[in-house]
Amino acid sequence: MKMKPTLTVTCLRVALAAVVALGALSLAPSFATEASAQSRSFSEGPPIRRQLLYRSSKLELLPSVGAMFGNSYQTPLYVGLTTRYHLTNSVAIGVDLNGSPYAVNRRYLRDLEDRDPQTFSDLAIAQTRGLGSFHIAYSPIIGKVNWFGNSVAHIDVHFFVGAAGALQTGDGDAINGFRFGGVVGMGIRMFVSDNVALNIRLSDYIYQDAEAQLGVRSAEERWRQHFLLNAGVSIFFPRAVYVSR
Amino acid sequence: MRTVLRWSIAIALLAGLMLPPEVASAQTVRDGTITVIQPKPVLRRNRLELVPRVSWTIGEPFVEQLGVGGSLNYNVSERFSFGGTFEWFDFGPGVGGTTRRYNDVVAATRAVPEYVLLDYYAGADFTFVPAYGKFVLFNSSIVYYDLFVTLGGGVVHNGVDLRPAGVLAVGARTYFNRWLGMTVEFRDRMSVQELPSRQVLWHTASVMLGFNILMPFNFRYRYDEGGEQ
Repeated sequence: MKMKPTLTVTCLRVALAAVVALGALSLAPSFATEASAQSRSFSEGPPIRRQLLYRSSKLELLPSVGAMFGNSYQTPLYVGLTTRYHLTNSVAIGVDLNGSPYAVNRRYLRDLEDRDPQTFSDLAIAQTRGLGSFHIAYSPIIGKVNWFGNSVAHIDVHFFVGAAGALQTGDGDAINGFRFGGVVGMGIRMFVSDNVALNIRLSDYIYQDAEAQLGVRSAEERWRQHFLLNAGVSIFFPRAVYVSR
Repeated sequence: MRTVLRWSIAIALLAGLMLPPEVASAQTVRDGTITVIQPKPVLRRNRLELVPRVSWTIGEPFVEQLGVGGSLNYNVSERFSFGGTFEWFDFGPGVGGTTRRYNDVVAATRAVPEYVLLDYYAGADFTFVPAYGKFVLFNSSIVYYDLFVTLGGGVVHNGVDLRPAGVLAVGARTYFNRWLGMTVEFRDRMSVQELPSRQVLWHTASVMLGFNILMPFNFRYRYDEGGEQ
């Protein structure tokens, strides 16, 4: 004999069914990708999820070549090595060393040699043989670039500030010695793989110096900006790339 | 037991219909059956672009000049545009002219460097966009940008006579909305100049900040059958 279920039993069945159904549905998304979970809060979370942390907790070695421009007499050419440790994906501390084995005479100096050989021979030019800095770098801009519509690379723009020094040599007291100052600059990295990036950097070394000295006349030392443009390859260690949540 | 099953199926169906759509989308994306292409925020094709511009010369140690002017370009496609640029440089000795390095060199060597100061540049530009992308600023907002290369030609006036000039420029621009943007550019104007001692190839290089005004002010996306714009 079949008994008619009471209201209480019916309610219990419905409640049990609801628990089973909702339990099953609640399990389903957990097997789905994290994207489904993230998508529920698109308007609240960070703009980039599962971000590739190319720099975080990594050591960066950056060999580079460069040139200082804007000088009156010569354009020194540099080879450099920058070492940075990235404390986070955005903040790094680093040391930058540049040496100049050669400098190109500018037009004014070549003209002076033609027009006034005596003054040219008496003129002692300051050679900035070495430039270095200890700096803090910050990368507030990260993104992607698409070249010619078919290849995509990750990029970042970083800024740095720190203490700097310059080693000058020349035939005169005013243009010889070590100068202390500061450095500010910015750079762009374009990652060609997980641990290799092309790097272009503009640094402004600010220190007090004189560019040249004529005979025994004392040259006037002044605070000047010395712009150094470098291009190089950043290599990151270790090679693995972390992914953010 | 069958009643429990029936109710379970019914509630599951109802709840499934009431789920937020993104959950369903995400599951479908996981299957690889939906491709979502985010449209570019600004389309330039067949639009005029007016760029008021301010520049400051760099690289030449003995002279510096302020340049104020504008460009008017027509965007043939998203990647190509052509137009004209005019820049005025002669704002008197108070703005630009010889630098402190010039004075230092004269004091040190008793020889006067030769230089050229421009009055204006006028010429035609052809611009190509080889790269575009997006970046996040301070982990807060996504900004779209593109990189461009400009080749051009025109004339420069050096205060005495008119000289033909070539132009090479590279830059980046980003847009704040559908009609207003900002450009940062490095531009080199190359001309053969007659200095007192000899003839030289003179570079007037500058960095420029400009604002892009696209006309008409709005545009419409066009969706073809294949999904292309």
